[in-house]
Amino acid sequence: MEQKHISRRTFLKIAGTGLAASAIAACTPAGTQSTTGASAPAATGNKEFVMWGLQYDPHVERYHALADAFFKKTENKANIQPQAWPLETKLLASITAGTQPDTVCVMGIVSTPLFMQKAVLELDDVVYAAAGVDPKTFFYPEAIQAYTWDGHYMGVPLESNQVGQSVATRYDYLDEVGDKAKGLWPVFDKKDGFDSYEQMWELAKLLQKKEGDTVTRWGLSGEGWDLDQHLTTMRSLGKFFWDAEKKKFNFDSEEAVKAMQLYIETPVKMGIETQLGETHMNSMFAGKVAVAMGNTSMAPEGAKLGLKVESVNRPPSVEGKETLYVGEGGWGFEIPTRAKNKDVAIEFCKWMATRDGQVIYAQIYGGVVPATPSVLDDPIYKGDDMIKVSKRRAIDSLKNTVYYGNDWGLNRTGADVPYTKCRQGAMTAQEACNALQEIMTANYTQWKDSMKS
Amino acid sequence: MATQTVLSHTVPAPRRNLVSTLAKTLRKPQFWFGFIVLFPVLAWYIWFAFGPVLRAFWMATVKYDLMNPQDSKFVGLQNFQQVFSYPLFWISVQRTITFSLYVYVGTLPLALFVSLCLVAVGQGRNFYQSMIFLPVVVSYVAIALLFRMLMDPQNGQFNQILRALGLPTSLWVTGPNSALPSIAMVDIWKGLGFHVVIITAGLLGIPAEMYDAAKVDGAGPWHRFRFVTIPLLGNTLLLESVIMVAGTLQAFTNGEVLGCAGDSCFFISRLVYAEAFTNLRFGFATASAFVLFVFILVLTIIQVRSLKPDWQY
Repeated sequence: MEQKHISRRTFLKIAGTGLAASAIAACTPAGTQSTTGASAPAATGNKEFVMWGLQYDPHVERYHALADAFFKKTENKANIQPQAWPLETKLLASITAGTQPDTVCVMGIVSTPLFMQKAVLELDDVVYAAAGVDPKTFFYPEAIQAYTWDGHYMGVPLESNQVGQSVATRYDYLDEVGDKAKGLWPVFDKKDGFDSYEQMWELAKLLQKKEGDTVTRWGLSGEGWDLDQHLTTMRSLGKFFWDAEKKKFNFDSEEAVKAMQLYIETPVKMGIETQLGETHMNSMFAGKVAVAMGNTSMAPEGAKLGLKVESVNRPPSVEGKETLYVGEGGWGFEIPTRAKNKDVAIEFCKWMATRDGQVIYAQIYGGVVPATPSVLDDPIYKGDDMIKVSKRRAIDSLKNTVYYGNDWGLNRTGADVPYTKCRQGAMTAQEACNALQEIMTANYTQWKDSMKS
Repeated sequence: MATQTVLSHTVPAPRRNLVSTLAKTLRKPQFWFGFIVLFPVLAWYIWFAFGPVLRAFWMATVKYDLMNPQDSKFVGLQNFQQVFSYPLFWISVQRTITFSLYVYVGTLPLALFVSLCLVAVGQGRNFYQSMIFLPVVVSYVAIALLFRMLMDPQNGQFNQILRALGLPTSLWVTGPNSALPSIAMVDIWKGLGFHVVIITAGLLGIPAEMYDAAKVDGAGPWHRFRFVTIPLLGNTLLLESVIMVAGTLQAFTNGEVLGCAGDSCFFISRLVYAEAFTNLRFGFATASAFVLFVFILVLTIIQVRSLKPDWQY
């Protein structure tokens, strides 16, 4: 059999042409695409789409449940590709590399800059109008506001965040100290929350433990999600942190200082709180803190560790008045503008904007603080065990909860510093608020400058 | 002969030489072999080293459009102006320089001391060197977890030892004043082995005759160290100094995973990361990174000029 030999010159020519073609193909920018998804045809079934989400077992399990239900309904198959935290940087990298998923489960607060740069799709018409859903009435305000920018919707929320609402303790601590402590725990008084900060501080003081001069278990910790909790306390005192008309922060107000005193300075001065370098929830589970203030997941997360933990509402900033919360929204689905299977992703998001989709995700953590009241009739929210009761307390306060808003640019770089310093005793409440005003104003100025075209 | 005369009138001699040399070179198979061998490496450097640096500089001078980078608008030095007027940038500069100083001052003498001890060890030097080098190959995340436990203000072993000795305890990484020294301490511990290996190699490279000659001249241990070891180790110490300064000024992981209190470990690299990947302000982030690059470059030049020994052996 005759063998054909390729000369070196021919080989170099072919290899060179191939390399040049690959380089040109790699450098060719993707075409400009519509950011409203208006041109995407309706999905017809038997299609596959790529879904990204958080690589965390409870999340992944729910993505599969959603994918199975969606497949049954439409015969479109989701290829689930969980990604490690932080998801937004991976999404960003994939968008620039052209390897983006068709839909992604990501927090609204971190993806606003992506929407501003038209990297994720506007869902007003293609999802909400097409599904006949009014997001303002279907979702709780905090949940949908986190996926809203400049009056347009960028995603379908799956949960409310509501961080800052709860105060929890462990029943082994209450049992250890006895009736006096139990008398201060609202549950034994058949109440959903503390009557006042003083009551909470007194309980914390009782549960605090010392060996000689060394504190081995601190009374209270609110560490973690400080901005949310401070803003909630401020709002409850009658001042929202951002003045939308004057375009300025209100950390220079009396209410801001009073809120900082209630939230951090007073318990620190009382010797019942200090900076521990980890979230209140982890500190309580590790036995370093008796009363933890903030997260709504403390009861179910404690149960996973075999701890009997219950949470109640945080004390009112003004006695007798309801607490008004400020939250940071939660997880939700979005569609990258350059998604290759946009039609299926849109169908999926339309389905997620209904009770059918929402109720499947709501099962996460034994019942999430939901994005929509439409799922509250599900059995997951029924029952009288302390986890369900704790969760219902958080849900009941959703009507009083708003999102930060994003008029101020959402740049929180360095915002945790004044809280930390106040908790360390290195700053007074007044100094911390001054520092906060300065940092946030600088962040806002930077953001405003970068928005100029 | 006639031909030569004509050529000498039309082409100047040096140019003719250059052209003929070039033509001769291009005809040589050795040239093409060298070119083909070097081409992938050159292409790699151009595409993946110099290219990104140039692109980063371009990004620092535009308002970066994520979806259509080619449409990014040129803004000149505006991003740099924003960097210099941002208060958190100056906080990050201060934290970065302080951290760098702590690590530099803590590591160099210690690494030199350990290396001198190692060189003096007759048997088992490799074993000791391996032991000292071990933390270098351990992941920073694992080390961070370990030190977070050791430095826990309430239950950590460090404070328990201090208490047992009747000494005041520390808040370590959770304290406003102790966070930066604490994180520097972890960095020194983790990086020591690497520097010890380099300095030990430098010490072993000093000819024994130099010490013998110094001894004959009546030099004691201190004088031998001061007037033989240190000068002859000059190139190694310069290398060490450059590596350490450049490395510590780019610190990122330690501050991120050890979870320092407040802005104690808010290094420039962390600012760059936050601005690029949280706020998607690539122009600002690359401008900050360029400022850091220039700073490291200037410091490196200063070190090379001031520390480079003017002798060889």
